[in-house]
Amino acid sequence: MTDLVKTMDRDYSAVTNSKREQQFERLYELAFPGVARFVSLFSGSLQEAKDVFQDALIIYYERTEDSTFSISVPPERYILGIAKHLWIRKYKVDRRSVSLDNVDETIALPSDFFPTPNSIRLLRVLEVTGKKCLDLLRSFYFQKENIASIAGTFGFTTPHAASVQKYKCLEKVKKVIKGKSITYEDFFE
Amino acid sequence: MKTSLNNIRVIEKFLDGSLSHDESLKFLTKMSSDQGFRNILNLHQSALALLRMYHRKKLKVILEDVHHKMMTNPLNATLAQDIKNIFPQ
Repeated sequence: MTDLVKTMDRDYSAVTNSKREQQFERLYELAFPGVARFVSLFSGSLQEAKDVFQDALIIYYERTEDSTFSISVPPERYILGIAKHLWIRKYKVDRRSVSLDNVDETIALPSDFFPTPNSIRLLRVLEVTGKKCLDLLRSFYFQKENIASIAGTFGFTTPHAASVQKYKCLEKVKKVIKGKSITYEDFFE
Repeated sequence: MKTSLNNIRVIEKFLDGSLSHDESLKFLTKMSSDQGFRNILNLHQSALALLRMYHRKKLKVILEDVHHKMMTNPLNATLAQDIKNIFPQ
C-alpha cells in the first residue's frame, strides 16, 4: 500500500476539510495530467477531462476509506485506470480502442455511481426541503463523525438530542422516498 | 411505517458486515420469510444510496474549488502549464 493511501486511510474521522483538500490537491498534481492526456487522445475537451478526473478521484477516495483496500501501483496509475473505465462507460467507447493493461482490468466501477433521473430529482427535492437533515446524516454516515461531534456542529445541547434528530432525519428521507414509490433497484442505471 | 431503532441498528450492522455468524443467519432467515422486513431493508438501502449521492455531490463542489485553485494559483503554475499544453486554446 502506498504512503498516500495509508495517509488517507488513517483516522478518517479526524481528517478535517482542509486536510482533505490538501490530499485532493496532491492527487490533482499527481494524476490530473495523465488523465488529461488520455482524454485528449480521444479528442475530449478540458471540461470532459476535469469531469472524468473528478469522478475518478471520488471513486479512488471512497476506496481508500475501506480498510481492506490496497493497491500495488501508485495512486495516479490507479486513478487513470478508473478514468479509462469511466470514459468507456460515459461515452460508450469500444473497450478495444482503449489500452487497458492488467491493472486496469482489475478495476471495477461502483455499481451505484450512475444515478437515474428519478433519483437525481428525488435528491433535489430533499435538498430543498431537508438540507439540514442531509448534512447531518452525511456527517454521520459518510464523514464518520461521532454523534458528540455532530451535536456540536449542528447546535444540539446533548449527543442524545443529536441522536434523536438523526433518527428523525433518516425517517424523513425514507418518507420522501416512499412517497415517490422508488425502490433501491430504481436508483441506479 | 416507522423503522424501529432496533431494526436500523441490525440492518446497519448487516450492511457493514459486523453481525456475528449467528446474527447473520438470523437476519437472512428473517429476510427470506418476512416481506415487511425486506421492505424495511430496501427502504434503508435507498436512503443510504440517496445520502451517498448527496455526499458525492458535495465532494464535487470541493473538487471544483480545488480545480480552480490548481489552475490559477501561481504555486501550481507547472501543473496549469502542463494542462494548457495538453489542451491548447
